[in-house]
Amino acid sequence: MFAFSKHPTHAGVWVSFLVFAQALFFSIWVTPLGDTPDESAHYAYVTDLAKGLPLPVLGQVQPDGKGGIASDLWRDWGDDSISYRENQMPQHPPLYYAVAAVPYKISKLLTDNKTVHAHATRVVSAVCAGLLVWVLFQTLLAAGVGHAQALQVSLWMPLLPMVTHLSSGITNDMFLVLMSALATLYLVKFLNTQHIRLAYWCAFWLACVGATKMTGWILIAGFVGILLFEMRSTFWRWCVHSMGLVALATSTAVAWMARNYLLFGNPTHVAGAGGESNPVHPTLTFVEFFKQQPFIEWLAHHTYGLLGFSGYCLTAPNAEVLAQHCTGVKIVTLSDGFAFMTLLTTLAILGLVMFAGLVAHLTFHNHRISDPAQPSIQSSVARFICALPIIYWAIVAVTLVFSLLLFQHFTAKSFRFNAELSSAMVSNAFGLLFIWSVLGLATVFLSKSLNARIASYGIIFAVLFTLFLFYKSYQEFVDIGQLRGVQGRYLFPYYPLILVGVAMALHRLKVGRYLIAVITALLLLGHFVAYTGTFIPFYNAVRLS
Amino acid sequence: MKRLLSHLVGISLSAALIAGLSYAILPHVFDLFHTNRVIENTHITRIQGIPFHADTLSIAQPLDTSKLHIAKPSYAANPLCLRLWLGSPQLTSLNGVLSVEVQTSNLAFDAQRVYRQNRSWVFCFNDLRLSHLQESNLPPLFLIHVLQPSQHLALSGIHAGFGPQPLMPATINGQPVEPSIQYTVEVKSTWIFFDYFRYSLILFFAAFLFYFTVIFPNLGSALNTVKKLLHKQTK
Repeated sequence: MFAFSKHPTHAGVWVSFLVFAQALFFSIWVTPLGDTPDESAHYAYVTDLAKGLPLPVLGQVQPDGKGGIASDLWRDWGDDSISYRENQMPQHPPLYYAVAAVPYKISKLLTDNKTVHAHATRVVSAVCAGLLVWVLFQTLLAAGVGHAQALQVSLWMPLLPMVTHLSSGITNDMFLVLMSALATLYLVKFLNTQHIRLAYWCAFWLACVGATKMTGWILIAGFVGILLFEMRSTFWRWCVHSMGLVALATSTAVAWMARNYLLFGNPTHVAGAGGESNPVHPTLTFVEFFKQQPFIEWLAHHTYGLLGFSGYCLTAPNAEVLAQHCTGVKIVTLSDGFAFMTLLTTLAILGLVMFAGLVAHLTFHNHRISDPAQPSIQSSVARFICALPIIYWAIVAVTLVFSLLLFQHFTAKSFRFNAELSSAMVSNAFGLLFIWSVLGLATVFLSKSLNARIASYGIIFAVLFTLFLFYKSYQEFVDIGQLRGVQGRYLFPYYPLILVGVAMALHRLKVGRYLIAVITALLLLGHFVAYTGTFIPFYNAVRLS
Repeated sequence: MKRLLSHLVGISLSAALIAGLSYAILPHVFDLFHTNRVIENTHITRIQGIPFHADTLSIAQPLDTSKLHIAKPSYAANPLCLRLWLGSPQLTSLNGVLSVEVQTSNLAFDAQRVYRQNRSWVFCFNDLRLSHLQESNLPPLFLIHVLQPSQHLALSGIHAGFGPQPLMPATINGQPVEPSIQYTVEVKSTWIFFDYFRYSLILFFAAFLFYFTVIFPNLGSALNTVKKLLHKQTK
């Protein structure tokens, strides 16, 4: 009767298909057109690419509308005049848009119905969601996690309402996450086998990341760093492959930078850049910004659920049309209640378990592990430090003290804001994640265990990227006085590697399988409650005429 | 056939479990079946003097972004006001329909002055003093209570600030006040087939995923554990 152990991959296929089917269902019947983040802008870029080359140029709206967002993008308003507003999305490389242009083009050949065109274009994100589960499942199996646990953990990402939301819309985010998951799959396989072919596959998928979105470029640097740091090889062979891997992984990002440089004189040119700066808060310090602004809280809220971008109302040609067709609240986040608390509880538990696990590893187990014969940069560094016990224990002690001080800072922030339970939970959960990353940083240099290092890499890069986001938000706040760009979805490409580390750690615990089952059940329930309790009523409230 | 039946039973039980737990956690989810839908304590972010979508707010009043965050020297003389854009142009009065209050960390005030400007409604808190905001540990929290549910009473924009026409963001000592807004909206409606269809399918997906990932893979080992425990006890 219970034949799971005989055909575990069948269950993986079923679950992947279900996630795809659910995303497709949401894209057609739940998420209003234009309501995923910047969907109008993403869709306009897709329609531009469907017209063929050349690529649209950021800030330039051609007479045929290329580079702009047409007022009749989503629907005809009964008004013959079509106006265009500038589209900020051509700042991104075109890979996702080129892929999404295929179903869009096919649907255009079949029908003139604009709703069908949009739904067809949305299919790409739904497919990405299904494939993401399958790739995560395979990655976890490659990392040695059991089938049952791998199946459950591979579902954790799609159980974030924000991921479901993105899966049902036109956006490059899901495509980017899929590319990063594929890069993670080959990274994990390479680290376990050291087959150089797998490292090149990883670099290839990183190149796809680079061709999808600029926020993915930091991930490329991180993954290439891991490849080079962990590659076991002779010196010359290491040099040759390092150059090959760097060249392949960064090829698309470099090409896009070159294009930006030729067009704008700035390799990382983005929308809104280059304006005159007249700071609103010129004296605000970094620490004051951290204390005063709810950056972490917003990041948590926006990671779990940020919905409502007013859809095609943003493309209406004039105020009269807006007043006639568009009503409703414009944005909603899950900031309280059961669904959000499930996420925070999960993060806190995982942060605590991983931190405790790494402490136990560095203090009790690390010295018992023998080194492989072939050295890597990592193994050389670890061997050198482990040979000097005073240095080793000094690093461990300093890291632990720093971690506890850092955690105290987050806890103090939660009490200082003195707000609701969820706000305090956010600070404490993120505090635990941050100290996991701090200890992880020590682990990647000190540990002889590949598993411990894999459990550290993902969170380290996620936290580094969070700090980068924090700095950009700080800069923007100083300049314009608003907290902007705090988008949790930018961190999604780092989740596959984090999940691999978590699953590997939990898999080794006696209670791990039960913990995984409980977390999966909680996330599932939270997802259901979020959609039925908040999101669909929200969509009903903003339903457009 | 036997296996298919066992899967169907498992999925049905999963659906019942999820529905039951959801009802225990969030009873109002099922208010759908009693003709009411509720959005409760939904937190709106990005109410920081800038509307979420300037394009939309420009229906009522063009937003001159060059003036944003300029300290308003006469703030002390002006009450704190909240402007709401409601998708209900036919409403002539909000008496008994909607009320607004503002909360600081230790005080709460109801709006005393309510008046209409074109498509928007302005609520002013005459008793609220600047010192109340300065002494508050938290940013002002606006609570919008919908007293009389109406299908047409949907918010399309919110703006807070000092003065009868709060087009500029509120500032205290040159620093912008960053209010957060919670609203409770009840939208009365009769049930429609479309919602039954959507809710049922979401429950179906949740039950399928729950069964295939949590129950199905773990049931065998869980039963084995129970068997071992029973075996130990009988020994």
